[in-house]
Amino acid sequence: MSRDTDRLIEQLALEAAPVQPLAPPAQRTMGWLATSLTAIALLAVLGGWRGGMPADMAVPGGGLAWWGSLLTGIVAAHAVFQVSVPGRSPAWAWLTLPPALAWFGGMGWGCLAEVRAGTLAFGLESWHCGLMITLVSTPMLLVMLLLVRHAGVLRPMPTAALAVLSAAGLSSAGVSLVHGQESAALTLAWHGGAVLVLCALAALSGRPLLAWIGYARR
Amino acid sequence: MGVVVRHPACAMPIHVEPAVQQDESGDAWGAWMARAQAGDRAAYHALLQAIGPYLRAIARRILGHEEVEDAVQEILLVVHGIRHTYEPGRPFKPWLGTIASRRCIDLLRRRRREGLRMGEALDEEAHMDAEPGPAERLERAQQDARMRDAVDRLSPGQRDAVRLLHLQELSLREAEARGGSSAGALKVASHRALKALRRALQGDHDHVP
Repeated sequence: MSRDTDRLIEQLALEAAPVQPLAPPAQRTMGWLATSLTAIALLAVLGGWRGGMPADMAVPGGGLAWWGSLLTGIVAAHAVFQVSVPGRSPAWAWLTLPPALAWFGGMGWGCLAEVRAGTLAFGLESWHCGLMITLVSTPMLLVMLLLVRHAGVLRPMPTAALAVLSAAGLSSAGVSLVHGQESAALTLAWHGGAVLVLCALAALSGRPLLAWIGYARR
Repeated sequence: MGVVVRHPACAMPIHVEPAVQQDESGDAWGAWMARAQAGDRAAYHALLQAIGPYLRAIARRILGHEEVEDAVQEILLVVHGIRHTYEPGRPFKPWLGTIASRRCIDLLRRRRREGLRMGEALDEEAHMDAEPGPAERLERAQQDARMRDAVDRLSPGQRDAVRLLHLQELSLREAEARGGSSAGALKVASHRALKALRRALQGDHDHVP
């Protein structure tokens, strides 16, 4: 062992203050979900939610899409707390695939039903859904990235992309509680579009973002 | 029976179990890390010392034999920075191995990026050598103009001497035969002509009357 390495080890040992080890991923997921679901429910109540199921449930594929988005938010949160920890399997990311497929599949199914019925219509009327999802999920995403800021040295891109999927899935489910019954095409355009754009942005900016807010040596 | 090891930095005696001393398994390292997380600096020092060969082997496998010691130090810094992410009771080696290999891959990426940048810089330099920049072109043009003026100012005898001896590279005897002047006259004319041209090329500020 070189003398420099020995000196470094001595320095590090001298600086080693006690640290609080991370809680297990399941426990962190529960904490995260309790906080974020409460915040989203409060926002939905402020937005006019009266406690019922979303109006979109009546649209073909609407139920599948809503439950899919909620499950994606929950499962992706657990995947984030798994893949961001060294020694834990990155394969946890795949667990997000089935609910995400159900979410987007439900919206796609609705679109097909509208095509068959000849009622398919794209418009800009519900642009505020995309905006709301972005506004709600951005602070959630920042909090989550702070919770896994050590992932900058590990798997920054999948961590950031899964964090977005979790924040966007939960906020999309929340926004669906308060918006009126919409066509599946509009839901797909605004909800799905916002989620895909946010995911792409997070995957691209994951490395610099985590390096900025957390521990990452360049 | 255990062995007492004295920590070199803080002179703190620590009790090392025989299992830990003989078998450097991940579980023993994990136990040391758990103690380190609680603030046991001696256990932490012993752990960082013990994992050295393992880290060096990973660095050598990914990076080759270059900069292995630098890589080990980088990994130690990361381990120190995120030591709270080790969950006591879980296998230690996968935790450490993931950090070490990710760090080495990042270093490899950085090395390639720097190699690429260095290549681009060399290409640019070669390009600059092949094609003079505007300032260099201007200087060359001024030098050519001064040269033409200086040649114009030479006497016909001096011009002939330069043409025969320096441009056509004839010997004194051949030049004498070709130009009709004596070898001595050619030598003097050539000497004066070169002196005048040198002055002209060095620029007016260097001109010594």
